Amino acid sequence: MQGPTTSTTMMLSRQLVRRQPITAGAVARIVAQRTYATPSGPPPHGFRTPRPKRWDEEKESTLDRAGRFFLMTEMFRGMYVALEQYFRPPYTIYYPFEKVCRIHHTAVPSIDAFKFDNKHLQPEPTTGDIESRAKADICPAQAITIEAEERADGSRRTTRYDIDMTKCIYCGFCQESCPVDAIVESPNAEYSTETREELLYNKEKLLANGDKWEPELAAIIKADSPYR
Amino acid sequence: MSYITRTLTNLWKAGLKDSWRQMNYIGDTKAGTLIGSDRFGNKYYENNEELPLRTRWVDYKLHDFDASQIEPGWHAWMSYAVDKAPSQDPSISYQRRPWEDRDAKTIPNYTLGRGAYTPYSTTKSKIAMWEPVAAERK
Ligand code: SF4
Repeated sequence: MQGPTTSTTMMLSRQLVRRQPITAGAVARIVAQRTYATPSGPPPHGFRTPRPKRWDEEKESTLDRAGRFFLMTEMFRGMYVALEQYFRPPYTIYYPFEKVCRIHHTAVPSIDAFKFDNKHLQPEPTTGDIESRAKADICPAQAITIEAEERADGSRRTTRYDIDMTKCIYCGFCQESCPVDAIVESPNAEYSTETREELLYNKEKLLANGDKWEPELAAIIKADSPYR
Repeated sequence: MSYITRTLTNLWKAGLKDSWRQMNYIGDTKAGTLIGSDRFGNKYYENNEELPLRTRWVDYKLHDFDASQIEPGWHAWMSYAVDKAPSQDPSISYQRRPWEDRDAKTIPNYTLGRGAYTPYSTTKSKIAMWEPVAAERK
């Protein structure tokens, strides 16, 4: 048999050919394996919802039903359900009073350790530049702009450290790539602003963020340190 | 627990005055143990019988409350980053750093207001504007 099977004889033969009947042994095996929904017996309890009671099967007396009807008990039950909804606790949280787990947050980089810059980077005057450049280059969103220049004392310091928070995707690569924690993602979530302009952070703004969050960041880094 | 009994129980535990305040701010009656307060006067409560992520909450000091008024160490506790509150764990409690003001405040988000942050360049411009100088007539 080849080609499309549309010929009359083919269709006929298809209708005439029956599948092999299932052997009794196979049926027994299926039933033994799976007792419900098989001919082996009734379905388990609660498998199907029971049939609703018909009018002639009701056990309740007519007086009871009349009483329920005239006292409107069902009405009051419904009203109680409605009343309960006024006191229902929400499915969400009340945000400024309660907060969610911080790993759910997007976090914002803040330069925390610029003041440590000197300590770590002075022995090799160009390291500051190299490491800062590494951060600018590692950023997949190209959100960081860094410039550095030499100071009067010969140390190289960053003069421009701009992060465009509208570009940042909070991937954390910059934090990962920095060996001296000069940039860390802070756990703050209250960075929403009305204008785009306010999200173009410069060095001073990042330093201010770092100043605010340093105690908490230090605790987080300390807690994290055994795994780094 | 029925919702109405939850509210009434919390009202009973927290007292009428606190419940009124909570209804005006949080919008829910909650009762819990006072864990501590930060140096701005915000009070922090915990009740582990609440729903998950609703077990720790703050009662702001100011009427004009803002999430940025939470002190950083307490912020970690509030967002379930640490188990111990700053009042129990000195490593995240506030210690004044030498360069800080005596009564250092957290900086609220002054967006679109007068205190809003405006970006500016922190470097010297690399190009110099041409300043025309007229030569003196002889
Ligand atoms: S978190 Fe990622 S996207 Fe944001 S500045 Fe750092 S490297 Fe760039």
